[in-house]
Amino acid sequence: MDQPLVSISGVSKSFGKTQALSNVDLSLYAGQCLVLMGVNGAGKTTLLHILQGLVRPTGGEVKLFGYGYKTHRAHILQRIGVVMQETLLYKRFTVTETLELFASFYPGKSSYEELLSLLDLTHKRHEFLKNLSGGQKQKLYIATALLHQPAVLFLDEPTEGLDPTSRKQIWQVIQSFQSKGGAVFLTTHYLEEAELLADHLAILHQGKILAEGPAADIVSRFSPHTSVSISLPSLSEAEREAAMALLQTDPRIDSAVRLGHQRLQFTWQKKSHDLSEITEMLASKSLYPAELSIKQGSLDDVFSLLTGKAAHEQSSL
Amino acid sequence: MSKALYELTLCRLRVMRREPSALFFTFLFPTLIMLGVYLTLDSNEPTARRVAITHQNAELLWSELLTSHQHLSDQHSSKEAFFASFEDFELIVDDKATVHHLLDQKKVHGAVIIQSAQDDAPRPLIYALAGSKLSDDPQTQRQQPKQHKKILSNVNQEEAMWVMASFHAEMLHKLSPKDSRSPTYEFYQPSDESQNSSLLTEFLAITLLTNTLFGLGMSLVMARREGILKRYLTTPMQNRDFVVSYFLSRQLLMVAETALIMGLGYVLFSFRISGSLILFMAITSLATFMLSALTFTLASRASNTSTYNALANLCLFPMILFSGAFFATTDLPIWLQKVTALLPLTPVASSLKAVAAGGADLAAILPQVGLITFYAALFAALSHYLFVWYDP
Repeated sequence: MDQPLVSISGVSKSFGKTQALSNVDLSLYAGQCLVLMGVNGAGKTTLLHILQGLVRPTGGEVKLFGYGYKTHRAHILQRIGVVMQETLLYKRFTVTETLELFASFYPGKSSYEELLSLLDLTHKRHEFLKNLSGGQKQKLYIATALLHQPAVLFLDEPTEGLDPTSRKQIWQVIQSFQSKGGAVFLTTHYLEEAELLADHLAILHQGKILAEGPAADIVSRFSPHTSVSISLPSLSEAEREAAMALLQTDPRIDSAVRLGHQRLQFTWQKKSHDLSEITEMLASKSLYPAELSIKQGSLDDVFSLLTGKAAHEQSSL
Repeated sequence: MSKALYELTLCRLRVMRREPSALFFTFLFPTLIMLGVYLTLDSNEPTARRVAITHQNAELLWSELLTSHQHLSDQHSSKEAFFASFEDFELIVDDKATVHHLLDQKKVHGAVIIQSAQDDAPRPLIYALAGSKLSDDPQTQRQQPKQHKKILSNVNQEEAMWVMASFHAEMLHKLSPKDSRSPTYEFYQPSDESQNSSLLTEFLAITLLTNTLFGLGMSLVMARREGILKRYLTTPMQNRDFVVSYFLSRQLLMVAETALIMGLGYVLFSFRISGSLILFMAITSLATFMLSALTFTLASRASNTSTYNALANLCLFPMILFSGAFFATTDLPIWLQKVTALLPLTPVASSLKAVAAGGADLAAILPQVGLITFYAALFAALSHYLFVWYDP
């Protein structure tokens, strides 16, 4: 594999007695989108600030394009684009003036016509920021991060509080940037956003990476249960009730419920959804379903499980 | 000039131009104040000007004047009544040393020092007793204002002293009608001169201070609070360009503010700079630099406008109060005078006043310029050490 554009090795950061980050290791490659998920206060913004050169880590090392901020600050900053969560630019500036201001910080000539068109802001180019909607402002902030054609884009909760249409437009811009070989490092609260955009997902909690990898792998690895639905049309009502009772007594099953007359649904505690294991279990109870469907746990379930479990472990210490 | 510096400076000017409150406080507010002062002065009844006459035998002259006054109107016999008869100015007769002391203390507006009498010199004719008579001498008329009110409201020292000199000549003439000799007069004014110039230069210094502290400082704190400074840090923008853009935009605005105040001063109060205009502008520029550095120091850590407001006001009020604009600092205790002389605004106001009113050159105001430069360096170093771009 190529060298990573962003490499985070054993990074720790403490503010006084508060440990904000603890031994974080992550890598981001060209054309990849790494989504960092975590609850508020997990350390996402601190990690982003370290990656943007705003904060120095207490321990470990961060390298972008193979260089550290200490020696190659200007070189790194020329090749990254940043969208911060809480930034408010000058409200009495027009869209064009804002872009011209940011373009002046980068060497060479920047053209923002294509960007304005892509972000559907061309008709707003002479509008003051104070007259733009939240979604339009956010798109402008993304434009300021993209106008110098960076190699890596850092986005801190870019669709927070936006309407569905604006969110979709921003996702399209991110995917378009990625398709041209750009790398994206994004933090979000939205699971839908993470599942859609992430090539590589990392769950950060209390400064520690709890899980990382492709989203499907994480769900597969950490999913707390498998939802199984079976259809038993040949059984009488009494037999179905008996089958329900049998399922409820099995220690591997969390819960079982009736779905209509013929269907039963239960949650299989095992993370694996090995079909033979499930059918063996049903056969042992003399249940031979006409139809069986398996649904894996969601990212939401995994996230809740991991962060909740970590919080519980922390409180019991 | 780099592209970034140009855009950042333009950005500062745009922010300023598009912020109604900034425009109001920078340009409209000083204009309104000056118009207010003008209207107040213009509508006021003439106030008494206090002018001193020195004489080697002051007591004798004083009694002669009283006698002469009795001779003229035969209605007043006391010193108080004598004063009351002069609606337009108060007369003090004293010895030279006392008059010089009064001048230094700004207790009198001017002095006429009678040096000696000169044979066969043309005798100045009476100009005014209570400002009512005009001379019939063409030469004297040229030196007198057309309207008596103007002398009194426009605070022209030279004219006021001319009145006094004429008056004194009249007294002498009345006392010794057969004496054809006329004395020569030396018009004497306090060194830091004309009250209008003094008021205007102090007003200019205060305007520069308030506009820098609030115009520049608030914008800096707001930019930090709104995360703009932090966003800038994630770009290759040179920090130096950002700081220089703030100083540069302030200098450009200073030129506009100074031109406005001086222009209005010229139109309303006939304000003129008697010294070098270049030196005057150079001091204004240096003062603006020093005040900008002070602003960066005060705004170096403030994370919200309320905190900054409190800090700025804490700094602002002593400087304005003791600048000499509202009362003569010479009335303060000596130790306090020494303290007020060290406040950053004091050397600015006094050097501008010295150039505008007294025509002082650089050598004469070197101590003040040195103090301003010292403060500029001190505040620049402090802000460099203390300044943070965002709240961690």
